Amino acid sequence: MTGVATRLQAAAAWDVPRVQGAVTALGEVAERLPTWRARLEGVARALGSGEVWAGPAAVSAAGAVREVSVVTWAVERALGSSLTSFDRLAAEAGTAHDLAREALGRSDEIPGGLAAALAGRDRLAAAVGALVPGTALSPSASAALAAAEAALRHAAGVAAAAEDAGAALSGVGVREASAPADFPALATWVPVAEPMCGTAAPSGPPQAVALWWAALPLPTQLAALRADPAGLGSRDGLPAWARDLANRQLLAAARDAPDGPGAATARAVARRIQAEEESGREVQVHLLDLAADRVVLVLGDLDTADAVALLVPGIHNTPADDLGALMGDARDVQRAARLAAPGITVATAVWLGYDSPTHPGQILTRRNAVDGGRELADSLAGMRAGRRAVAAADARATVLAHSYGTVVVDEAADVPGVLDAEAVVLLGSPGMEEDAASLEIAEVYDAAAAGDLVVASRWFGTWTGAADFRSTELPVSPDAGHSDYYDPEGPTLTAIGEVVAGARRPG
Amino acid sequence: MTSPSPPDLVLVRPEALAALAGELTGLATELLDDADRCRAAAVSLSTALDGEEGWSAGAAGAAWAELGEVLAGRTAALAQSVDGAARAYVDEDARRAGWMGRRRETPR
Repeated sequence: MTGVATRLQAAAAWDVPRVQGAVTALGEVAERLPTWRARLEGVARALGSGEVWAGPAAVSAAGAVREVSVVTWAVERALGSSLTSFDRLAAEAGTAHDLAREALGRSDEIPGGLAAALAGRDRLAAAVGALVPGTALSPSASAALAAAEAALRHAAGVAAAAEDAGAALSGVGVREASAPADFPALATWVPVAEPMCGTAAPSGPPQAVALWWAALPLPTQLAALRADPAGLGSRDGLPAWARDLANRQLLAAARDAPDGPGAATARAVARRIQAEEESGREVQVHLLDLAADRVVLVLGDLDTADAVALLVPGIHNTPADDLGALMGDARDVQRAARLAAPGITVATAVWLGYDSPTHPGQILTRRNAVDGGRELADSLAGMRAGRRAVAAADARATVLAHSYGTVVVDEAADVPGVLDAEAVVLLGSPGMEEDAASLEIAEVYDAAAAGDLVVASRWFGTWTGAADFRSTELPVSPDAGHSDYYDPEGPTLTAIGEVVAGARRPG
Repeated sequence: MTSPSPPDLVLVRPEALAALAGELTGLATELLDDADRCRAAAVSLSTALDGEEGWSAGAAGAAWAELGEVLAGRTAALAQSVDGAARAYVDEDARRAGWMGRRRETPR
């Protein structure tokens, strides 16, 4: 038997399902590695924050963990490239195996046998004539020969793919099938000290932004935040820790220019952060757009909290004048949620991410709500995507909309795509366009006080307490007015806390 | 998130620090498990393909495992260092507390 025929026999004997199983297993490992790195970077950030451990040793430890994350990033890229070759190997092996079996199964139909025909396949007609003078190759024999040749081509493809799978690892120091012996040796292959160049942030949806961000090594992420805090501090899809870092840079710059645009807002935000942090509460600046006067301030950690609530206020709310009171509501909601489900972590965000109406031309129309609805939908999608970028499990998200804020939610539901929230609570709503189902959120609650004149106006549509609106009613004090839903003494706040924590069910 | 602490400040929350060390240990274990899976895949590839192709593919798969082991080893070592630091701070504090207590009780 010739070497070529032996090779065909070998390909026919390959255990293709086992090859495919092995490549699938490698693919799963490669898929898990970015998540692993994201969690490692979470530890690096915690060590570097100075909140758990501060001092020279802490700085060294944070740096060492960051170094592992950067090297992991490089390994991740190499494995991804190697996996592409392994995928090709599995496909080629399957094809080569099938064709080899086909060729060998028909080899008896080739005059002189398959081995002889293959040996002279470059001069096929002459070879056939020489083997069996006066006969032509039958269609079946031709097919067998073609299958054999194709099988050999694909087998060569397997060999090339196997070589490529190994060569793809050379960038992280794999030589002659051996990886660097230890971490210092591996790290010499990665430019750990210098931030690597990253591509510009995509302009696509939050999910695309989150994917882009997750693929960057930590030093590149930090360098990007330093270079473009305005662009990244407001970018939906970035994790909350990154937006916070960027927005605090913007805040520091605004403090250095006390007469610049948005100076009053910057001062109010800085005061609020200081007050909350001095009381031991964690704060994140999720949005600081001083030119447009938009702010989203968070109590807790949006990236890791089990439950997240966004407070969407109504008319006459500005960051400069109302942030303190709104943060008070956010604190009360956070406390109520923790009481409803002890042990869970809760983040509450004051969402001033839209232009809250201040004059009749705005207050009586949906115009600001239309723009705000778009922003709210993006914000919710961005928070979900941002958590995925740091490999955090999904949180239960609740939108707490008050007054005109409910109209913003109404408009957010009209934006294409489903709203990224598990529950919405409509507080003192001046009416909704359709029914609860149109809000695209599984759980819809409402609180509408009998003495609430805004509710009674039904200016923007259906009364949320109407039976055909089909929301779940929350308890309200009999003497409550339009601004009393977050009253710590009232029953509504307790119920809101239960909704946020997932301890209350609709119906 | 707060800005980094001044370099002259030393602060430690031992329980939270030990939790971070625990997270690092967990990460190291998970990666080591994945390295084992890579090694098993490498054996499968070399057995299932046989010959030169099998050897090359198996070698590449084994290199995957080695890379994972190196990263896991470093992560485990860092976990030990961080955990050791948390314990050392607590032990040192206890030692000093005991020492100061004894000083107070020493008769003149």
